[in-house]
Amino acid sequence: MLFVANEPNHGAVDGGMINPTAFHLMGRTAECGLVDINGLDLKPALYAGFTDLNALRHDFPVVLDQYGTGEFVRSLCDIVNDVLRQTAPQSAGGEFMRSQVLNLEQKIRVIATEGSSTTLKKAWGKAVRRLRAETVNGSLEALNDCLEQVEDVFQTDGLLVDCDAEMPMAMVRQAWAIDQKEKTQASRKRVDELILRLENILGAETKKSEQTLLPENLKGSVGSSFESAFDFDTMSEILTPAIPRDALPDDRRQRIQSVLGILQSQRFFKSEKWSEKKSRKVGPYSFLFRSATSALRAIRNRIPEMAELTRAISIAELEISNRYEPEKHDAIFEAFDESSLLPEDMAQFPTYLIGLSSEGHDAAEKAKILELLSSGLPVNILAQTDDILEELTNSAGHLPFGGMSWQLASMAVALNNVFVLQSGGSSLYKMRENVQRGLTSSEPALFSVFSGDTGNISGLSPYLVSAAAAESRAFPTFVYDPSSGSDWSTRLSISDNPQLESDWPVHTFAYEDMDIQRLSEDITFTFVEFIVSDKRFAGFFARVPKEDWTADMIPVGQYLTANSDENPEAVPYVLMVDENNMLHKLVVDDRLIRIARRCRDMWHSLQEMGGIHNSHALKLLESEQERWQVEKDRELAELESRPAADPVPVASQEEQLVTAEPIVSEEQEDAPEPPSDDPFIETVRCTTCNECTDVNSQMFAYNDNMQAYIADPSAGTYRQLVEAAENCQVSIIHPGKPKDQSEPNLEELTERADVFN
Amino acid sequence: MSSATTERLLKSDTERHPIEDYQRCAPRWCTGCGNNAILTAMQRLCRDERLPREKTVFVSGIGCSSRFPHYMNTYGFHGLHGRALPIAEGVKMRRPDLHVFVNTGDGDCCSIGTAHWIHAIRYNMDMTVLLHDNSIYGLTKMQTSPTSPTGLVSNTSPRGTQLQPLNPLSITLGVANASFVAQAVDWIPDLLYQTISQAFHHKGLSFVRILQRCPEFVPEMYEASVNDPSKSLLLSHEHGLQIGPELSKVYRNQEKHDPSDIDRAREIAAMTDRIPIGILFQNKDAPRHEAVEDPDKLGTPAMIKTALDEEFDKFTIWPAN
Repeated sequence: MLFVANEPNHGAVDGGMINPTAFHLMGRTAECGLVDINGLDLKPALYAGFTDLNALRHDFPVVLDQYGTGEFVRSLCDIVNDVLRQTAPQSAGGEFMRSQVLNLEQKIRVIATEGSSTTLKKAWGKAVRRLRAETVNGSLEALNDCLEQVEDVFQTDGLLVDCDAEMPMAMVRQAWAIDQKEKTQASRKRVDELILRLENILGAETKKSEQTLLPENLKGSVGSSFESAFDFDTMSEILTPAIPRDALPDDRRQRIQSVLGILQSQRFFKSEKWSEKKSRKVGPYSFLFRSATSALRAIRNRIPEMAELTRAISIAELEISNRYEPEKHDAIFEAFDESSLLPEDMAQFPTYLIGLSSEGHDAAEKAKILELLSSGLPVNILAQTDDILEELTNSAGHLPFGGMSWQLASMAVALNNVFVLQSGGSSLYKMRENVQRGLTSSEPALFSVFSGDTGNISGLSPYLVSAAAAESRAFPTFVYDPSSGSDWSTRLSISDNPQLESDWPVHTFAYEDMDIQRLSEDITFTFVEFIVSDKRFAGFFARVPKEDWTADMIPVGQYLTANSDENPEAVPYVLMVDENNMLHKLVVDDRLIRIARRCRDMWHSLQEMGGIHNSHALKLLESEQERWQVEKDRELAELESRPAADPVPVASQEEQLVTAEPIVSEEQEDAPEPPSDDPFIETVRCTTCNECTDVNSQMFAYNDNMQAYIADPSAGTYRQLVEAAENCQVSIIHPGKPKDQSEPNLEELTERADVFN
Repeated sequence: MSSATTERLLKSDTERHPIEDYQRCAPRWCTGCGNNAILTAMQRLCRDERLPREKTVFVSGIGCSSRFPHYMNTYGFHGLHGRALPIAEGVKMRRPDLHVFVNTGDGDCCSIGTAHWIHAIRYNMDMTVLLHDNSIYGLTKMQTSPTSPTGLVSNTSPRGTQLQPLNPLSITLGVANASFVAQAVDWIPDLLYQTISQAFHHKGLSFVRILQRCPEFVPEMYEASVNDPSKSLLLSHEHGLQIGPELSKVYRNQEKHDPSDIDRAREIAAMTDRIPIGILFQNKDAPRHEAVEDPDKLGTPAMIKTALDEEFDKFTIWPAN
C-alpha cells in the first residue's frame, strides 16, 4: 500500500517555537509548540496493511472440535484449504469455485466477529445466504453447483471462536476436556471391572450359602420351563447338608465389602457402577476452577480421598488375584496415607484446570498459583492477561517495566519442573501442539496468555494487539518443557518469535512521496510502536508538523540502538498513519525510551536463556579464539626464528614400500591364544545335554544357569576328559594336557585330545 | 494392568526361586537331545523373571517336545496331537493372568495342527510358542515330518523324502497379524535364552522356531551348522538380539536387521544357504484377540449363564402337560 508523504497543516501552536528535543526531554507539549495527539486517529505505519483483518486470511477464527473425532482445534483457513484441495481443480475451471469458497470464508470470518456464539455449520449457512443475496441471478446457478460440491466434502463442525478475550479459555478448555475424557475412561473402566469382580467374589459366597438352597431360590435358578418337573422342597433338603463349608473368612469379607463401598462411592471417575442403592446427593467432582485459592482448597480436601481410593484399588487388585496376604499387607495398608501416593498413582486421577482471568492476578492469588505449581499436583493453570500495560498506568510518576506480565511465567520457569507456555492470543493456534503437550505432561503446567482485548486500543482487533505485543517483545512467546531434556537448550524454546537474533523485528515499509514515487524504508517494530496505540499513553507522544521535520529526528528503532554520544541532538520519532493514509511523525518522551530499553534488556535475558547470544558461550569462544591466536603467533615466531634446516631426503618409492609397516591380516589380529595346558569348557555355549556329567559328575558340574564347567579336574582321569570332549554335542570341552604322566595310553589319548585343544 | 502401588507391592513380595524349583524331575530325553538346552533356557527364564509357578502353564501336544510340561515344576497340560494351540488359547481366554507357553513339534504344529497354527497366529493372543523342530517324528521312531529335508531316508520314506519341506518361518510371516517371529538353535544357548526372553516379553503370540538336534535318529541333520559357524547368520539390532564379543569371535556372519522390516524378514526366512538366528519380525501394535474382543459391558460367568438360559428358554420344547 502506498502512502502520500505530505499532509495539510494540522495547526501548529500559533506563535510557539517548535522544539521536539524539549518535548523528548521534558514531555511538555504546549511549551514545545507541538500537537497533542489525543483525538487524532493515528496508528503505527506498519499497521496500515492490516486495518481490515476480515479481508485477510489468517489463523482465526478457529473451530473447536467438540466431538473428539480429530484435532481439538482447526483454523477456518486450514479447513477451507482442505475443502479446496478436494473440490477445486488446479485450472481456470477451478478459479470460480476457489473465489466463491474464499468469499464464503471471508463472510464466515465477519460472522465470527459479530460476537454471538455460533457453530461453523450455522455460520456457513448464514454466509451462504448472504452470498446468494449478493449474487446476480445469472451467476446464481453456477454458485449453487459450486456450493453443492463443497457441501459434500464439508464435514467439519464445531464451535466457531474468534481471537478475543474468551478464546484462550475456550481453546485450552477444549484440549483439556478431550485429554480428560481419554484419561479417565481407562480409570473408570478399571474401577467398574474391580467392582464387578469384587461383587462376584461376594456373590460366589452367597451362592454357596444355605440361602440359595431354599426351595424358592432353587425354583428360580431352574427357570420357568421346568418348574413343575421338580420337587424343590426335597431338592433343598438333599442339597443343604452337602454344601461346602468353606465360607469366606470374616476379615476378608469385611475387607472386600469396605473396599467395594469405597469404589462404588468414589467421585473422581463418573462410573457406570455409580451406586444406585442410596440416593445420590452429591455428584462427581468437578476439576474446573476459576481461582487458584478455591482449587488449592479443593485439592487439599480431596487428597485424603485420593489416597483412600488408591488404597482401595490396590487392595481390590490383590484380592481379585488372590494375592492379598493379611500378615504382610494389613500393616502396609494400615499405614497407607497421602504420603504414600506415588506420582504414577496421581497420574491416574483427572487433572485440574484453573482458568484465571485478568482480574484474578492479585498478590495473594499469585502466591497460591506458585504453591500449586510447586506442589507437583496434577494442575494446569491458564493465567490470562487482557492488559499487559496496566501496571505502567498504576504507578505514579515513574514508569516501571518490571514485566509483571512476564513475572508469573518467569517464576514458574524458575521452579524447574513446571511446563510453561507464554503466548499472545494470536499465536495460540500455532502453539496448539505445545498446549496439548503441556496438558498431557505429568508435571504441573502454566499457560500465560495475553488476549489482546485491552479495551484501550480502538481500531485494532485483539488479534493485532496480541501479535504486536509479541513483535515488540513486550510479551514474547516461549515454551519451557522440563520433560524435553536435562538442560536449557532442550527445555526452553523461543523459536516462535519473529527475527530471533534481533532486538526487534525489522520490516520494510513502502510509501509514496509528493511526486508519486515509490519509496521504502526499514522500520523496526519496537516497544514504542506497540505502546503508541494505547490512548492511556497519548501524553508521551507529540506530533511534529511536516515542515518542522529535521534531520535530527531519527526513527525510534535507530535511536535505541545508536550510541547517544555520536549524535547528542538526535530525537526519536515513531512513524504513524492517519485515516486518510497520510504519514505523520510523533516525537517520543524519553521516559518511554527508558521503558523500551528495559523491555529490550528483558528480551536479551530471554534470548540468552534460549541460546541466542549466550554470554557464557561468547566469552568462551572469545577466550578460545585468543588462546588460539596466541598459540598461532608463537608457532609463527618459532618458525621465523629457526635457522634454515637441511632438506629432509624424500625416500624413494621402493624404500617407502620396504620400510612400510606390514599390513596385519584380520586372521593375525584375531589369532587365537595359544592353547592352555589346563582343561576348560566354554561354559556359555553349553547346551545342558548331560553328556559330560554322565561321564563324571564330580569332575563336571552345572552352574546356576545349568551350564557345565570343570568343577574338579583331578576328580577323574585324563581319559574321562577326552571322552567327555568327544561326547560333547557342541565340542566346547578342551582337555588340555595330561597332568598325571603315569596314566596308561597317554599317547593315544593325547592324539585324540589334540582335535579339541 | 495393576496400579503402581500394587505393582510395587507385588515386586517386593515376589519370591525368588532358584532354578531347581522349576525342575520337576530329570528329563527322559535322549542324551544329547536338543530339548535339554531348551528346557534349561526356559527354566532360566522362569527363574530370572521370577514367574510364580502357580501362574505359569506349559501346554503341549504329542511328540518328544511335548514331554516338556512334565519336566517343569509349574502347571502343565499335555494335550492331544496337534491341539496344543487351541488348548493354550482356551487357557488364556479363561485365565488371562497366567503365563502361557506352548511346546509343539514339527509334526504336532506343522502337520496335524496346521489349521490351529494359522489361526492362532492371526488371533495373536499373548503367549509364547516354541516349535521344537528336529525335522523328524522322533517319539514314534523316525518318520518323515513336514520339515524333513528332501532326500531324508526314514521309515516312511525308505527311498528318501521326495517333497520340498515346509518353511515354518515363511508360513508364519505370511499369515495376517503375525506379530513376533524368531528362530533360534539349541546349540547356541545364549542366543536361545535371549530369543525366548524377548518372545516372553512381547505382548502377543510369539512364535519361536528352535532348530533342535535329534542325536538318536538324525544326528547329522545340523552337524554341519554346529561345526561350521559360517553356516549361521546372526541377526542383531538394538530392538533385537545383542551379540556379545565372545560369540562375535566365533560367529562372524552377522546382519543388522530391523525386526519391523517384514520384507527383509521374509527374504531372510527363505534363506537356504545359511541358518538365520534371531528375531526376524516384530510388530508390537498388532491387535490381540483378548484386547479387541474385550466387551464394553463387563460380564461375570453368572451373568453370561443367566443370559444364555433366557435365550435357550425361548426355544425350549415344552413337555406336554
